[in-house]
This record gives sequence, C-alpha cells and structure tokens, in this order.
Amino acid sequence: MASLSPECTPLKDAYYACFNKWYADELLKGSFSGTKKATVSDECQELFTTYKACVWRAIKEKKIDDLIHEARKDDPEHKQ
Amino acid sequence: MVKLFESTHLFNYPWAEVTMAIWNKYPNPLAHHVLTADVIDRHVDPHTGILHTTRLFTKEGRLPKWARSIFHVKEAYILEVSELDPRNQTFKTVTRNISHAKLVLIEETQIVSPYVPAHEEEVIAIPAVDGSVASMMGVGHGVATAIRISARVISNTGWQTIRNRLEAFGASQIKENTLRSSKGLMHVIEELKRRKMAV
Repeated sequence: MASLSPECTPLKDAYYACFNKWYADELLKGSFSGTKKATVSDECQELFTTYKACVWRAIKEKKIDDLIHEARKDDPEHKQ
Repeated sequence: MVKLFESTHLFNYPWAEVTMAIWNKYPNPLAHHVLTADVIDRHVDPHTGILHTTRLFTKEGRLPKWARSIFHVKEAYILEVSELDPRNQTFKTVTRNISHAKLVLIEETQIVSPYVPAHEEEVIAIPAVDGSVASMMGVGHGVATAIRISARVISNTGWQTIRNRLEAFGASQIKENTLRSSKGLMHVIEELKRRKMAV
C-alpha cells in the first residue's frame, strides 16, 4: 500500500516489516510483563523516525496538518 | 442531528491474528477505494504498556452523485487514533474523516476483543473467504474475536434538506461499508496465515 507521498513508500515498507516482527514476537508474546518496560525496539524506532519525518513533510506540503491538529484538539493524548 | 449505528462482527480467529491483520489491512481486494495508508505517530506508554497509534488514510470520496456535483469531493482524508492494550487484549480505534468534516462527519469506534457471548447481543459472523461459516459458534469461546462497531454521522451544512439527505446517506453507507470492511479484513487474516504456514 502506497504512502501519502511515493518517496516515503520504501521507508514505510521497511518500518512496517520491522513493526510486524516486533508486534508478533515481542508485544503479543508478553515480553514486557514483569519489570521490563515496554518499548519499541531501537531498530524499529530508528526506521520509524526516518519514515515519520518523510510522511510529515508530505502532510505539511498537502496542508493536511491543520486538519489533523483540529481533529486532535479534543484528544487528551495529543493536547499541547 | 446525529444518526447512530451499532453492530458486532465475529471472526473465527484469535485476537492476535485479527489485530495483526488490522495493522496490515491495506491493500485488500475489497478496499480499492483506499489509496494511501500511513502510521503518522506511534508510541508505547512505558507505564501502562499500551500501544498508541495514529494512522492517516486517503480514500476515494464516496458521496452520492447528487452531492458530488454540489461539493466537488474527490478524495477524503481519514484519521484513525487507536489504543492497543496487549495484556487485556483490547484494541480500540476511533476513525473519522478530517476533510469535509463540516459537510458530513462520520466517526466510527471499533473495539476488538476476544469474543465472550453477551446476553441478547446480535452478532454477524464474518464468513471465511471461501464462504464457510461452519462451526463458528462451537469454537467461539476464547478463540473467536469480536469487533464491536459504533458510528455516528453528523452533518453541519446549513441546508436542512441537504443535511438530512447526507446524514441518511452516511448512515446507510456505514452499514454497507462496515460489512465490506470486515470481509476485507478476513482476506488479510487468511493471507497472513497462508504466508506464515509457507515459511
């Protein structure tokens, strides 16, 4: 499935592959129960940082950022 | 005016497989109208272990013909904000269109959890891609997964007649779309299973 901007699609695919593996092998298997804190693996986090920068650039270019912020206004998770 | 819709869809697959398919739902043969999909924010809350995700989709606008000619809507941006709790096996998503939201806002909430039969709850069993629904109810306990869907439609356009027609259209569209969407998800669940077995 394509990303919002074609140049982000390869970055997205790399991140999704990493996430799927982490989701199945770590998160769902309960690797984070007990004292270990749940975190996304460094490898996936790095891929996500690159991909996210690309997709947010596209979001701003297409002027969707205002629509996103407007929709998130009532959401406590994203209150500034 | 707000129009509401509620439905429960049942999948004869465990929660882990259904949620994995939700993350990888597009493309699928029943979702040609979905043009792009992206995770735009994601983090795990270190205290609760809950995975927070925001996804952005571009979909082809699906307004009725009479409305399309008035409002010139071709594409719609859809935002999905979700919380997945792996310990309690609950996955909640709230999805809404962020473009043309004043014209008509469709907000859909889905709660994905292992199926425990609830008193007097009507469920729609989503058939396998080959059409079979056999033994769905028999193995339901702890194995099947329920997606409880609720949606509301709000139109804010100034014209009462147009508003009523848009809300009525939105409500009937949701019903049709949720079923189609669940059938599409079933395609993805089965495809992931096939790939896993092939490894």
